[in-house]
Amino acid sequence: MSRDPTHEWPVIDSVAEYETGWYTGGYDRVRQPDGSEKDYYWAELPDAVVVVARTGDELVFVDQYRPTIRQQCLELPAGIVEDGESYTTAGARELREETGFEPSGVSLLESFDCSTGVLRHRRGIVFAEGLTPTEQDLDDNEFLSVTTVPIEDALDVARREPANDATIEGILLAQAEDLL
Amino acid sequence: MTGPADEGEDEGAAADSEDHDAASNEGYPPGTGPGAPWTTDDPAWPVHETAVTWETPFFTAGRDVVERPSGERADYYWLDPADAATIVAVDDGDVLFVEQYRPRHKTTTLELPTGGVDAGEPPREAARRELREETGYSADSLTHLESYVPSGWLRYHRHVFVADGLTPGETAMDDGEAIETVRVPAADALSRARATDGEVMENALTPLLLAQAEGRC
Repeated sequence: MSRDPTHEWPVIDSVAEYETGWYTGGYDRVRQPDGSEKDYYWAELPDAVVVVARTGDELVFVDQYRPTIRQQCLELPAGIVEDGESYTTAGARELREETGFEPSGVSLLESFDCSTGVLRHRRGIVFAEGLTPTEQDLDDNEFLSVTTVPIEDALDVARREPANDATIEGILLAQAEDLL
Repeated sequence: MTGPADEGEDEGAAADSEDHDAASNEGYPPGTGPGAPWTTDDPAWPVHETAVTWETPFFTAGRDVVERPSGERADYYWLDPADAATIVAVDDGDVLFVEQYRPRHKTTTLELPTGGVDAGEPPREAARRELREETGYSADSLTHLESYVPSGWLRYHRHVFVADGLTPGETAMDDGEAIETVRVPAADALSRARATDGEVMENALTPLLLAQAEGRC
């Protein structure tokens, strides 16, 4: 196998065969190094941003029902990055819309591809601070309440069932950068 | 559903269910596997319709028509691949990463050993099997660290294990698979995983952070 990151396996065909308002599904037919061909299926959707928002000694959480997994989730604010937005711009907007907190500073902690066996989808984790309370501005599909969790309890809350990757990851990354 | 046998390296690959009782909850952490929340209804958000709308050899996708608290009905889309097992394997002070080409992302990635959990297979056994297949190492013990959904709209769990007491052996890769084991000193593992230079490393980040937070690597 080549270690050259620019090396690519030839893509013989790329087909989008399933469209929703949320993601596009399809496959790439790829020629593998041994000469065989194989279809790699993917679901592609816009980038997401997850916001670690600190106010005093607490983190901002949202409590909402996730119909797709049929669970009530207590998690970090998150949303989709819109066209032309950076992770930090999108993070500030989502934080303001979902929680009503306006941050004075937002920084990108990390970004990466998610669920690489299934998706083409990137996630950015941002840290927001200097929060000023303003008005919430929820989309019509959002039914959520805002709460804060003491930093010392945040990881335990995140790991409580139903645990989600983004929330655990956001807290641990912010900890690793000595932000909490 | 049975997937192509050469897709064993991928999380999300449909699994061969012949060896296991798919209905068994044995070995699954609470709220995962056959006990996952999406297998039951929530009376507060009634599901009026559910349909499989896209099937691939890797995963199944569909749509639920759900009644919101406001009374209106809306479509919620889901993807339902197999669960994944990810292993933080520490050998002689090194964390074992795997390097492989990801055609979906057209790049070579550095990730932790990961694979799909076969239907009915206890996640711990999947972790043991994937570690051996991808790196050749057999583990004396596997400690469950955490199980979580990757996000609120993917219907699978990632089960994270720490592997100890490693014995080297032969890898077992399928045709077309080319996975190389890369040893990284534990002290450098997080920064290596975060050196994203064209690499994809989502599956490494949270497991490594969890293992470090628990003093396991």
